[in-house]
Amino acid sequence: MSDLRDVVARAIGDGPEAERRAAEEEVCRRLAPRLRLYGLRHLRDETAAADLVQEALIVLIEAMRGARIDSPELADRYVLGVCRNLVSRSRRSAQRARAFEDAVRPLSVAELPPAYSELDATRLAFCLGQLGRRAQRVVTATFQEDRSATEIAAELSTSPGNVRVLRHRAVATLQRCVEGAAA
Amino acid sequence: MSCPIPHELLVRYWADDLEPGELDAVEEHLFGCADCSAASARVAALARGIAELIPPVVVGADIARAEERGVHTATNEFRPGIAKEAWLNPGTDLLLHRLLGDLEDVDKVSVEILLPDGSPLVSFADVPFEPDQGAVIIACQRHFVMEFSQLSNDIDVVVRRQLRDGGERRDTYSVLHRIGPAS
Repeated sequence: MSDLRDVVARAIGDGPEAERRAAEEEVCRRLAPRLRLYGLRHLRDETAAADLVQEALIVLIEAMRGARIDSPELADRYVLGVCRNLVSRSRRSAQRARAFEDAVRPLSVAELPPAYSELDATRLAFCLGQLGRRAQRVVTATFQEDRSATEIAAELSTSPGNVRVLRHRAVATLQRCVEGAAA
Repeated sequence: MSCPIPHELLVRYWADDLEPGELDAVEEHLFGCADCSAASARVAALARGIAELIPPVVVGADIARAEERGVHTATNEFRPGIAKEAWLNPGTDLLLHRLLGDLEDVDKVSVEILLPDGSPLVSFADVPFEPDQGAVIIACQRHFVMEFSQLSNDIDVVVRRQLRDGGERRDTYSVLHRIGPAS
């Protein structure tokens, strides 16, 4: 499989239009999962993340066609900058979407594979139950209650550094437990 | 597959626990690296799974959070040695089994779930509890009940309370799961 930069190079190169369009589609396909993860991380909402994917790819295609990406090495950083702007401004550009929607239509976000596999909830509950009480508390306080390491440390009468160690080990243990069952 | 970003840093990324400079550096790398993006997706899946999970043994805050999300609960109280039915009726998502017992002076609680023939189904070594509640609370989700039903409608739950003075109390509760509507 060719590197993303090679594909970007084909998308912005001097080749036939059909080849450039196919390369654009491939760029979208490669970047969409990363964009979606970024959206989930910052927006914490599937629909908003899907919107972000769509908008960021539209901006990227617009930039590639407008020759504003002159080096393939810059494409991933460019699209990250776009994402940051979209998230910070949280605005939608319907006009731009209309102008370039044909380019993105082949890549319907609904048809994309999920950004990550859904876990078996029963298995995850079992694995969580295998953790010690403190480790369990650290991961649920972190991911269910959005509490900081400092807040959790105060609750557990320990240091934020220790909370980070507990959390990292707990997540690694859970991954082994959940993914081991799936393997 | 090899991701140069330490796993601990990816966990902090999804725990929203990075300094701005670290966040920028991690995201720039994630956008350009397929391996790290895949590793990040695995952590994201776990974080998302935990965020939506109801642990198998719960305390009041877990129940409140679940109910805020629209989870419909039904609570039953159980005393040691007395078998009792717990009905999963239409519209109920979560059965809460309150296993009554003195939790004062208790340092640690473990729970073991057994089939009627005594064979172990699952065990949790160090579960959360609230001493003033006077009960260990098992959260039995609809899909758990359906899974239990494949094996047996009836289970025994053995609760071991490790006391601060070094002693131990052991009680067995018999839960007879029934799928409603109740007659």
